[in-house]
Amino acid sequence: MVTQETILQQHIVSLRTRLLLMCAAVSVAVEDMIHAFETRDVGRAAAVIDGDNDIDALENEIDDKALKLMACTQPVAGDLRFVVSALRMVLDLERIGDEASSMAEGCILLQDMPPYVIMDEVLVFLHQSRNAYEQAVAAFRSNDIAAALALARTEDDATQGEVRLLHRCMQAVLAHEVDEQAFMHIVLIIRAATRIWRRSANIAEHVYFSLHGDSLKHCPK
Amino acid sequence: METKLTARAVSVFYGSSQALFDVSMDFPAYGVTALIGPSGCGKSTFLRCFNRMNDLIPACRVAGDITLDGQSILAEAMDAVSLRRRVGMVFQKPNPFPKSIFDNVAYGLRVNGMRDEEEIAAVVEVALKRAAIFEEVKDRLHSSALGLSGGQQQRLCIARALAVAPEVLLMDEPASALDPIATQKIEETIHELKDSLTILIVTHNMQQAARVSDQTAFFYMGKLIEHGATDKIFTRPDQKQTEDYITGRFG
Ligand SMILES: Nc1ncnc2c1ncn2[C@@H]1O[C@H](COP(=O)(O)OP(=O)(O)OP(=O)(O)O)[C@@H](O)[C@H]1O
Ligand SMILES: [Mg+2]
Repeated sequence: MVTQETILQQHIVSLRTRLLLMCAAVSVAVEDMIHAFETRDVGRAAAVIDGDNDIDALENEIDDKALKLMACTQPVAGDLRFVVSALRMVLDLERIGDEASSMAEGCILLQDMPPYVIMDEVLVFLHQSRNAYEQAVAAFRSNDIAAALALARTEDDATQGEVRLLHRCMQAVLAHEVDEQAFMHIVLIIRAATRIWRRSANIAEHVYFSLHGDSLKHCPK
Repeated sequence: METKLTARAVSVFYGSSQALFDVSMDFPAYGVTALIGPSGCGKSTFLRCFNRMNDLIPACRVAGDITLDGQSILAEAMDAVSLRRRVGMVFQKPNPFPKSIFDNVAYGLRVNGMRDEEEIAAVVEVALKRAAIFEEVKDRLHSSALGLSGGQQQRLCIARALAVAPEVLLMDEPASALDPIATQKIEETIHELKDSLTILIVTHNMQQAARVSDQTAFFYMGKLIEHGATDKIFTRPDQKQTEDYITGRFG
């Protein structure tokens, strides 16, 4: 009995460790992508695209671990919620990795474009989106219910920020400050940044569910 | 939801030592309530209150009140024999009498004065069917019950308890001595029975409690710590002690 229980705790700790590792890998991808955007560093952008395979591999590994844990130890209560949250978190993490990777492609495509003024505003938005992601990871790492709840409620901020910025881009195109081809790449980057923010809010929801037991999904604010 | 059994401020003493402290809870008619908690926390003691089995333990004293259909069962006026007909019990170790399979189930009927052999045979068959063992024993009803496997013996004991048409069934770790397949059969039997009976089951197997019960009550050191819907207890218990126990973080 005692050994059986210890095995469950070990599995949980190991799952948590792998999940934190995946958070860190995604964090590096997002960070490098922003750096590539800011400094037009094509090498960095290419590294982000390459690194996406590792993130995918971690997703598979964690999925597998979580399934085995459920099958072999049949967790309940907080343990069960943790494993279910882990399965949900990997989906969001993997997608954030994908977004970073497609934004890196955008950076490569933008490499020969002149440094438009609008880029500074896009960069601010990328930083906000990155901050949301880092807050999600911090809430997960430190089991912070209040931080998770606060971040889960910033989804609307992401959307509003996106709409404002897209509007600014439109104005810039109309004023011939940005050419149309660059405009398209920039819009795709902005949209991907919004999705990273929203998925970070999802992660915060999973953290909240895991710690608190209530689902924030589809419930009025 | 109709209430079948109530316990009000029930305390149980063995001589001068108190084993159960002020336990109050209701049991709805029909459905399964699981009693869980670490060894020695008072589950069996509590279970035995409901058919006054504690009367049989000399130093044991029960305080508080327990009612069955609103009628106090601890009162002198309540006849323990007729109470035990209404509140049947199945124990951890299958304990068939060294008699034939048929006679094991017929025993309670005869004790209760049933004489018509045809009627007895009919009731025995129904009880064996409800306990999900009829198919396995129908061709050897008159062989010894001791020749059955442990799991079959336990289902026979359930049939024996069911024959006298109890309203409540108390089960004290009914599957702990059985292999997974026999355990599954017992659990299926419980599932079949719960629409027509009020079942209280003590189990050390968390997964079993989660599988078979509608309500779960967690006991610790003679106290009722938490009681609620099983799915709630196993996904989001209110008390930390409950969480620690069911996730195996105890002690
Ligand atoms: N006949 C008895 N005489 C004296 N003390 C008893 C007797 N039966 C039980 N006790 C005591 O009462 C307390 C509760 O025991 P009980 O058998 O009800 O626990 P339990 O929860 O059923 O444990 P287990 O899971 O081991 O069956 C224990 O401290 C036990 O030692
Ligand atoms: Mg016991």
